[in-house]
Amino acid sequence: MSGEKDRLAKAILLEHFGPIVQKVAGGLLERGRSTLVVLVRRLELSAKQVRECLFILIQHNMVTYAESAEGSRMVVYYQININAILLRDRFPLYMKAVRQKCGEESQRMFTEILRHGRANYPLLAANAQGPGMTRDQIADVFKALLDARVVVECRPQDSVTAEDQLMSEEAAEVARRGGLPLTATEMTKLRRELALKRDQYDDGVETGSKRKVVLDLEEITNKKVAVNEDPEQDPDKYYRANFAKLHVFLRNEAIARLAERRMNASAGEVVRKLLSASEHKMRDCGTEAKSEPVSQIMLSSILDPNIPLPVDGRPPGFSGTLDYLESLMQDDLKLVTKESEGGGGQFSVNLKQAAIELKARMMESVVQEKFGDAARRIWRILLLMQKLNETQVNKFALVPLKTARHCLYAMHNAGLAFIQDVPKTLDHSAARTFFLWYVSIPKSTTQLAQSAYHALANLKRRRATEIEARALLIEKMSRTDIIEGDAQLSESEAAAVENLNRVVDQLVGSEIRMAEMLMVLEEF
Amino acid sequence: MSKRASKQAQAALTTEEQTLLAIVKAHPKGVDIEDIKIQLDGWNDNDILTHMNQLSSKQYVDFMTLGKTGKLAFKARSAEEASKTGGMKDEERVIYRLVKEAKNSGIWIKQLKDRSGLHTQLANTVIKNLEKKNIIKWVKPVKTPHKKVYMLFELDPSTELTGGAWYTDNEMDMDFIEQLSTQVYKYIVMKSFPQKVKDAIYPPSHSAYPSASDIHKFISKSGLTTVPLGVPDVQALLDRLYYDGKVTRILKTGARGGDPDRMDTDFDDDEDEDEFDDDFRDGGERVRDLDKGDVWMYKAVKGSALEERNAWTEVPCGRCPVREFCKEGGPVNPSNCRYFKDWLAAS
Repeated sequence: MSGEKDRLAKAILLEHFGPIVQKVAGGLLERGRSTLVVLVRRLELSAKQVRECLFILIQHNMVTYAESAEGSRMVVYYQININAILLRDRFPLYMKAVRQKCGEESQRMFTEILRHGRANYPLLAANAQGPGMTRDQIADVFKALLDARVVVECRPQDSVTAEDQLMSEEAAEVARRGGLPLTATEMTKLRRELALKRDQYDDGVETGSKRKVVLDLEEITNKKVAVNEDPEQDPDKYYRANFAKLHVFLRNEAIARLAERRMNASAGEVVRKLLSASEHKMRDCGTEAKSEPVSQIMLSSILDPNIPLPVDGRPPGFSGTLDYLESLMQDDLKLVTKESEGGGGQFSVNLKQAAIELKARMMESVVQEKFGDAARRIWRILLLMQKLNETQVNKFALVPLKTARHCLYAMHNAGLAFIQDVPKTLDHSAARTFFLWYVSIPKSTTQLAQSAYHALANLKRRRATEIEARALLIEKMSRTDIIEGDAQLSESEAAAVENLNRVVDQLVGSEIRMAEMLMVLEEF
Repeated sequence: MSKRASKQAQAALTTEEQTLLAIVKAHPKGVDIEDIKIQLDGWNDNDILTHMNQLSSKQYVDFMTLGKTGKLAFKARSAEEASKTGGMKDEERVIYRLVKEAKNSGIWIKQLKDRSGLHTQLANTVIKNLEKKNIIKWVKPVKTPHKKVYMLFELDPSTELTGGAWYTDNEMDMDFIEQLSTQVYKYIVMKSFPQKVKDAIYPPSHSAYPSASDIHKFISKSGLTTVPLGVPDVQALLDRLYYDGKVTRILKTGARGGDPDRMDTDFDDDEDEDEFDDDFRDGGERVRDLDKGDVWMYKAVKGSALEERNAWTEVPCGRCPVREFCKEGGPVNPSNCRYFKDWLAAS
């Protein structure tokens, strides 16, 4: 896995930051946590270059550092976070999500944040100013981003490696308790307490900088001298994108689309609004198993009035909300569950189930495309029935035994179906063993992600190759006389340019779709 | 022995033999010597056995063992059978009896030879003779087409052997199944969405979705097929659509309970060493499905037809046959990959 991931990460870095940053990041990826000296020696770059690369990587939230005392000197260790690199491929998706949530102007500002990694308000205001926008409008656009929590304030700790933060917190706590080594049980208890504390603190940050509790003196002094009456516009405050929140938005939208495909646009709207009611409380995709319950009456009031909820046989003017909610409950996907009867019924969305369903549908589609209809049926049968032997599979799927066996082994090779052996005797003889087939979504997710990383890196490599092969042409295109129209490309060159554009578009399009697929597999 | 000879034999029954035969005939499931003794005063074991041997040699009575005790018992033969087997030689009779016992599931030729205790050569001729006289016949079971299985000429092979309605000439008729399920699916789609308002849904309490027996009626009326299909066959077809994700099932209101989420997966846990046991077990499952009755209504699922394509299988890497060898700098690599070349040239 990590091999494919590393390869993809390096390809992304090369594309976004060029060869030198890629080399430094590559050194960190291969070697793990290192000091500057080690990196310089290993990479054969000058100390200045390495330091500047590290600066860039820290600025873009990919590298964290930790200071640790070794004897009398302080040594700084740098560590790279591979997931922060891999998600750079999904920037177009994030930008689209921001546009849907906060509007076009906000998206432009968000793009600036992505471009700079971390940015303060004056920089954003200067760069994101559209034609004829007033200062207030810009402030509003920025506030929309903060309110949606797709942008959060950077804290000094953000640049410190998480593991080191943990260790230093622990050490401080141990020292506070007298400095004697703790027993294992005490240590577990301590760790749990610290985790709880951290959670609460994170909550504080999540609620936006405005309502944040002032934690240290430095901040208070800053506030006193601040010229801006609005604390968000303080030039000393830097902001970064909050990808966990964006994943929540993207996942919720994917769930709504699932309902839409399954039933109709109205059902999609019902699920969307059901989720949006508690969206502001979701911090990331892993925490909640269910969305917060919303009453049917409450839901009716927030639904988009432009989308009707048609139900057969109901009089005109009848609110179809309850019918839709109950139909969604009845559906096989079990997206919606009823939590209690109060307020005309309290309903919530089963997020965990929905995430599994999203992955399952993706795998189903992979199975179908690769191995055909019969294999897809068999895969679904195994998903529904858990563990079956070959003859049962062929019976249920109504396909010849030979086909069933063929499909099963093909899926097994692709990591989409697995065998569990149940020996009847102690000697584990194959003749006296049941071989039961099953599918496992978590297992297949890992397999599929691996393949997807490989494919995505290949797509990138191919795109680079295609562009390299036309380097001369591209060089010619960017000549001033061509741009100004003094000289023209020959007919064959024009055709080659068109072809190159088409090929690159096709590859980029596929890359984004692959990145989206990986997001579903890894983040939801 | 010719037919005439057997008639003479029949005529030649003594009074004692006739009395004895009447008693045996009164017990169609077989009678043992103790029971006979109760009904015949003054007869001893020896008398009974002597006369019984006579009857047996004249083809009126069969010997059998009763239950697990292995007690000797007697059973009368029908007149028709007596006349059929009357003219047989002893070895023919042995084979005939074994084939008859196997009923419509048949007996494998190897087992037939082993159990008859006859020499292979002799057994072969006897079997051939009986076949020629249209007394027995052989069939090929679908599961094990290489095994010859024998049964009485007048019997229809069981569904275990023929595979049921889905088999034509010992092969699963995939085209037939495919076409029939398409028709059934169309029928369900028609019943699943309201016609009047576009894009509307039926309320969740709607109960006019078709059930298995509704669909069975539809198939029989429509004349889609000349093959007679039972409700269990239709059920299998519906299950197939359900596993395809094309239809979903809804518990019929008022039907007897059961968790609608769970499928009926509780198999009997008998040891099933060979395939034949498996078959019987699955057969039993099918019967259970049947007596579940019309618990389920079937409803078509939207969105199963318009496939959500996934990104991976669309790019060449998702369908690559040499993916295992693909490595940058290796002989198979993305830069000079011909699958990529074809893909990029195609669109």
